[in-house]
Amino acid sequence: MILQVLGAIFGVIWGSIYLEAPKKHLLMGGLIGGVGWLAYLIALKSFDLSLSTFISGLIIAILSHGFARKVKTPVTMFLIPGFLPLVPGVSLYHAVYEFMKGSSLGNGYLLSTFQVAGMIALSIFVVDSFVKILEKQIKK
Amino acid sequence: MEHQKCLETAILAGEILIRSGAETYRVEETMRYILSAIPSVMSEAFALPTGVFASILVENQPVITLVKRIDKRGINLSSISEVNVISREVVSSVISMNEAYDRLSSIKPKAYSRTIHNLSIAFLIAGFVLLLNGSLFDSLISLINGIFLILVLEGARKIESNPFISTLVGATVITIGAIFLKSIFKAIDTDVITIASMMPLVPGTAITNAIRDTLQGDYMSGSARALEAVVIAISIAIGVACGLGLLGGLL
Repeated sequence: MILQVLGAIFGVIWGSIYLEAPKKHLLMGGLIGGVGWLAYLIALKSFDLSLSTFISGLIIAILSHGFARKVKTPVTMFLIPGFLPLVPGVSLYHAVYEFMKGSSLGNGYLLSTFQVAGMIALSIFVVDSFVKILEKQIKK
Repeated sequence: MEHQKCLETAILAGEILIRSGAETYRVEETMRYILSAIPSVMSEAFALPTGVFASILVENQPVITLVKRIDKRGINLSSISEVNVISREVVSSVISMNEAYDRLSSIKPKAYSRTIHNLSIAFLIAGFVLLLNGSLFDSLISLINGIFLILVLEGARKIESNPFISTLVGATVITIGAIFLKSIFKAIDTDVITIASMMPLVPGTAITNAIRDTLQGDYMSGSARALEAVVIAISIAIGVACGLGLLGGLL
């Protein structure tokens, strides 16, 4: 599990470079990705795929908003690299693989691809909305 | 003529943000913010993933409007961050409008050299192999598959092919590449390497931005980006299917 989290940090840092993120934010982005993946792996022990994605997504989104506020930079800077590990590449691949084999298992994988994408959406949605309400309260 | 420069600056900022893959509301907000730097009767900014529009009306002057069509979009987080800093500085009068315009036009299209950018593709894949519970050996071997992907993407850039085709060919090549590597190094996990190699192609940015645009009420941009995500996902799926199909006998 430690190796997986280290892989996530390493992967997200290079992913940030791939997305042309500024040098000073690379490490922070990597840490967010690593913490998010750790949360996902822990959640996966007791919950199913989509709920784990949701929990991990919430943590990544909250951390991204927090860090972005602290260093005064757009949230996108951390949000896009941070969510890289959660993107449903695994389900997409298995769906295609099963379809090519002519097995009906592909439908299940296709469904979980959409579920995971939906859960990523939901987690960003929840945190974004919450942050907006919080901002309005503070401004008052 | 100050208001004309202000309008040009706002349009330029909007163009850079759209090209860099910023959310639509951020683009419009930044443009309005820059336009608010000079007093006007009315000023408005409007952005779509394919173009930006802005107009400004100053007392005793005819109204002026600028339209900029944008056809190339990518992702560049550094540019978004720089435009953000410049727009703050110009509105708080730390720098003049002319300076802001010059600094915006001198923003580099790439934050890293092409070599680093290409290396990042290979290392991103190696990292994701570990993330997906692959072994260190898998991770090392996946670098070779990364090189295959880099070659495809570099080739696509040279012939200026559209993203749909380059993603499709990229996905085909990595699938074949992973199976090919399996025939040399028996111990590797083909699935993990293929999935990790897909990661530079997957539409993570499009999904994230589609949600945030829709949430802001920018349904036009939101649905455009959601469609973009679906199209990319389909081209990856077709590519992987082609790869598996071509080597069907080896499965």
